[in-house]
Amino acid sequence: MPNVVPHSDVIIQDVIIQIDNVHKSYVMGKEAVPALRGVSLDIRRGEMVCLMGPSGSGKTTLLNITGGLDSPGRGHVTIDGHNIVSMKEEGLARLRLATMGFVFQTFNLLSNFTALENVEAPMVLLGKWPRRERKARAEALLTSVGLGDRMEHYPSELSGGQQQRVAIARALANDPAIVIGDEMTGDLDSATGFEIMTLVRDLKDRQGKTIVYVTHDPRMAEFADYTVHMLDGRIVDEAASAIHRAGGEHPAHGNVAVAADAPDHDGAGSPASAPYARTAPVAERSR
Amino acid sequence: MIMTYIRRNLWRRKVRTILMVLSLIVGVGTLVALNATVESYRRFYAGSVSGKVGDFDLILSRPETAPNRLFDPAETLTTLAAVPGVRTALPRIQGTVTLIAGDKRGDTLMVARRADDTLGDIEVEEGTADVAVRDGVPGAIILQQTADVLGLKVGDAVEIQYAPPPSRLKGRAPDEGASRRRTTGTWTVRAIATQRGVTGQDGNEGVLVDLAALQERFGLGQLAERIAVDYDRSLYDSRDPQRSAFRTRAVTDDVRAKLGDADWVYLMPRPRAVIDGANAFIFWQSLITMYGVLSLSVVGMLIRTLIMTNVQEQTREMAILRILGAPRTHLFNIVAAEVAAVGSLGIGLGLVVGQAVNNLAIAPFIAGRAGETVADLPLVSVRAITISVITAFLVLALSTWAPAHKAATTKITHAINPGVADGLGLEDLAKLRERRPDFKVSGRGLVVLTYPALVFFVFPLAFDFGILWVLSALIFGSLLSLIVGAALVFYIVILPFERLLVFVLKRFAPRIGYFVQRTTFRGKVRNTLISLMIVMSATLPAFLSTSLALGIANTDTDQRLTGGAPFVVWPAWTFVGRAGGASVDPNQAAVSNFRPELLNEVRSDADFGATAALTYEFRTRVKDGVGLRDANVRALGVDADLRPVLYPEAIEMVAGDDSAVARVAGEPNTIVIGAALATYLDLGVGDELVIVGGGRDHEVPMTIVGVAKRIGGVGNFTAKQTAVWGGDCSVLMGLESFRILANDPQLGPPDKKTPIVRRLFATHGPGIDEQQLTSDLRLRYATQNDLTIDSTAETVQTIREESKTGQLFLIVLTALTSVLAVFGVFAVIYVSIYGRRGEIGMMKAIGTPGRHLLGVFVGEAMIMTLSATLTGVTAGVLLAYALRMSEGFRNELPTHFAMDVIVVPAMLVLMILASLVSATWATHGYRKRPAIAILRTL
Repeated sequence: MPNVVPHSDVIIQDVIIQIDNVHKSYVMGKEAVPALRGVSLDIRRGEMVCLMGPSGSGKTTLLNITGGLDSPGRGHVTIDGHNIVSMKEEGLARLRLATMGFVFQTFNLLSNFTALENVEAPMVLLGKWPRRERKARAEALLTSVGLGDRMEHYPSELSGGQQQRVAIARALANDPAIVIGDEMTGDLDSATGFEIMTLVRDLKDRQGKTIVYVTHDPRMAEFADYTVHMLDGRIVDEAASAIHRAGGEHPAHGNVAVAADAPDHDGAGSPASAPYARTAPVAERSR
Repeated sequence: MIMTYIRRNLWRRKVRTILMVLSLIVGVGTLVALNATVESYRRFYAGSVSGKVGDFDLILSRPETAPNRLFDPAETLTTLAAVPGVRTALPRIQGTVTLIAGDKRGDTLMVARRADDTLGDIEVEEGTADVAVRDGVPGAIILQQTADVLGLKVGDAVEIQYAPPPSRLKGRAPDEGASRRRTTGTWTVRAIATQRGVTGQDGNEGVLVDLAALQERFGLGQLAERIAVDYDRSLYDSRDPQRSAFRTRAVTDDVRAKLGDADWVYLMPRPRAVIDGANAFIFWQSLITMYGVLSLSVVGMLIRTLIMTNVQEQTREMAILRILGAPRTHLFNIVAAEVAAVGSLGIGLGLVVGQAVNNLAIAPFIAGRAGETVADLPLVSVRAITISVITAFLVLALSTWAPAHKAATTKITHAINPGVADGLGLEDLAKLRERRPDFKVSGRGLVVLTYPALVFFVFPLAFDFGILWVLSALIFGSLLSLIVGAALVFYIVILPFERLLVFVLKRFAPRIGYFVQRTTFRGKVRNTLISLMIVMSATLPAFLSTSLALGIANTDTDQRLTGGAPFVVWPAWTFVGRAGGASVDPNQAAVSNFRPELLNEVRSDADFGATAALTYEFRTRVKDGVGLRDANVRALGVDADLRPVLYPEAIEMVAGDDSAVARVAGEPNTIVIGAALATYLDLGVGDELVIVGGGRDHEVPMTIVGVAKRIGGVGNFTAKQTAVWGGDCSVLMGLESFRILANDPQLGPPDKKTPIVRRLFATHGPGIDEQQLTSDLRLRYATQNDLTIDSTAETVQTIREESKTGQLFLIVLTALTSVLAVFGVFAVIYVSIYGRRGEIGMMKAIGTPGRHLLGVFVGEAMIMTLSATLTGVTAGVLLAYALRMSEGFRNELPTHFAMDVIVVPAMLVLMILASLVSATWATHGYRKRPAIAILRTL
């Protein structure tokens, strides 16, 4: 059971991701299929937000736009004060390198790099730290995710959970303000999934990182402060999660069975819980 | 339905399809071009030798014993015209004449031809090739070197002094003192020209005149001295030069049957030269085949890589087809049909490209070498096309087998549960239980057997029976195993090269180097096959070009050490002993025409510097004082100090100093022996040696004054013991000591007028051009006195020119195969980058700039190709050095270090460009696409 620090230690104030009336369509054959239809969303610094919805609801598209990996067809997106709609690919890459960390479902580690080198890679690219400091930092990050004794192992020598921990350490390498997670637990068993999510939650609670992630699993959604539900390219609902309601302590406490009590967000159905009172009301957050 | 499926598949993977088609175009084009090169080379081979020995197959002339060697050719020409295989028969008068131009005169070759005699080529340098009678004076074409020596220009009058060829009595030597009728006439120089194949001599000395004018001037009526006969060129249309020559002999047999052989001498210069040069042709054929094999291997590897990628990508679709009930053969056929479709297109276009390359580049090159005109060029032959198409389809079939088999054995699980599909299934377990013979063990046994089998069985058989195609196959096989073996042995060197290149890269681009280093050093998907192919593709040209460079760099020294002096004048000698019998005394078998008067005349030539005359080799025995050890030797006499005549480096002493070679010339009963002989006899400077002289009970004690490891050009002075065992060592003494030694004392004192000199070594005076002097000397002495002039400078020049031509040929071949290697590199890099798109997507997602990605992939590609190329170059260069040094060691010649500065750098540049272009093009799409678009394709 991870040691979860109450979120009250972290000051949540300004909006770090501002999504305003974003539209996005994909051309499938001869037809344009809308993925997002006028989505607006503000995410404040230090919040952990989960995007949920059925396949084709637009959650991954929204996540990608949030992470500066995709550009909107219409609308405005501001990340940490940068309007990314007007940015070119190279500018976006720089922004991502300095401001964001990514954790993917399939880990996407460099197979020829050790765990330590995988964590070092973004630091090498940014060129902010000298070699020794870079290494020390990578070691500290790996230790913090519980892989202090696996630093020289190659991805193929690590379990799925360990690989995802390396990916998380890598995501934090350049000390980003935002961590984007795409089905982070999708390839992991439930117990490992819980461990990973606890670790991610810990990042938010301890370091004040803004975390935006997509999951299909309602149990994993419970780690977020808020869950945004999407359907047919629109935000249909959002709700404070149980963890938020419980003051930062996940109600499951690692017990998978508890998740069965979590609200059923799979689909357009409304969550049973109301927005958490201490944060902005739904109307403010999802415009 | 299959066709639609295939069409869509090919269209879906446009880049790979285009790549396959392009590589096939280049591959088949190269094959056609290489095959056509062999064809063209073979067809022009006869043409090539024609330039040296004459553009005719048969020369008919009267024997020396005929009462009159000039004859009326009319009837014979009519007979010849009716012989199948005879294309043209033309009368000529050819022989030595004296040319007089003002105060200059010289002997040279004259060829009087009929107006319709177009055998060979004449290239006019100045004037017009008009030999007709104008204003009562006939015209003459003076060949370049003769014109230079006599200072002749167009418009000058020149006198030609001609004597018909002398006859001799049967069994008797020609009577040199007999009077001969000489006639003189005046001609006008109408042109200065060069010739190939007109005179039958390789050079440009002589004069060409009109036959009718000569006959009229000298009152010869319709008489001719010879008939030059040209056969149909189709007789040479055989891959086996020996067979071509035998075909021409069959025609000559027909001619002989019709003419009878009593009154005629039959000479067949071209067919003889074709046979003599067959070995060189075999080497070129093997070399070209070798390049073809390398090219094909690259194409095969490339196609296999691309199709395998296609199949791996289609695994799920194949599994679905299996679920739907498609039999395995169906899946196999889909892949095979896909390749066949691409193959047909690529091969078809390749044929066109190959033909264009042959007609526009290769054939003109060979034609230029053979002295043929481009208009006479053959188009690519049916044979070249057939061989290329069959080989290309064979390579396609071999390359397709593994991917098609993989497709056919796709497991259904790939569609149901891909995660476990690659694990062991029930059918795999069944296979594992089977006990199957391990063919690899037998294969290794065969490899081990290859060498002894070649040494003990194949080579002796092939050489004993002289089967040319087997010899050709053996040369090719040896070359192939040499290159492949060297490439495999040196493959390990690729790692240090990779490290070196990464080290350099990290110095210039540390961030890129950080990523490249890890992928390059640890990549588990390193494509060994392509690396090995690049290594082999680089080994062969590097080996050949370095060998050529070494040859060029060492030619001068080699020739100086083996030739000894700037000029060597050789007399002709005539065999007068009983020929063919074992009783022939080799010491008495030949009589030189280097009479003392002629020798004195030549060595007093103003253009010569120091000279030294050397006797013939007197084969005898030497022994120590008590006869414990003895050996067969070849004794030589010298009449002057060799030091001012020979190149300084040509004399190398191991005991005593080089003054010994001067001492033997002046001091009786002194001798210089070779190092090996000194070791064998355990004798040194100051010791006495007994040498057996001519006649019975004739032994001469001599004092050793020097032990030489080398006296260049003068016999065999060596440190090799095998020379002693083979009786192949030389000993050197003064001319007078030699005369006494070789003489039988029972026959009285030696006759000092006996021409025993066989060679005259000479240097030239200061400020004299060696090339010019060589031509001059030949004009002065060669024809008239039957002397041969060897010039070291000329030999060096000739070898260098031939090497340069070889280098050019090598560049053409290397360029062709390098283009294919470029395709191979491109395909591998493309496929590798395609397989790593997940990594690219992730790198882009975390914010890697596009230029960094490009740098990483270009860096990886360059390190892969450059390290392999450098490894191949290392293998090739070391192999060339090993061979040269071994040859140098055997021949006791030093090796001057040399590097090829054309082929190897060109190869490196091509590889760098290939890596740069391949990586840039292959990553272009990924660099431009957003990270998410890449990740979505996974």
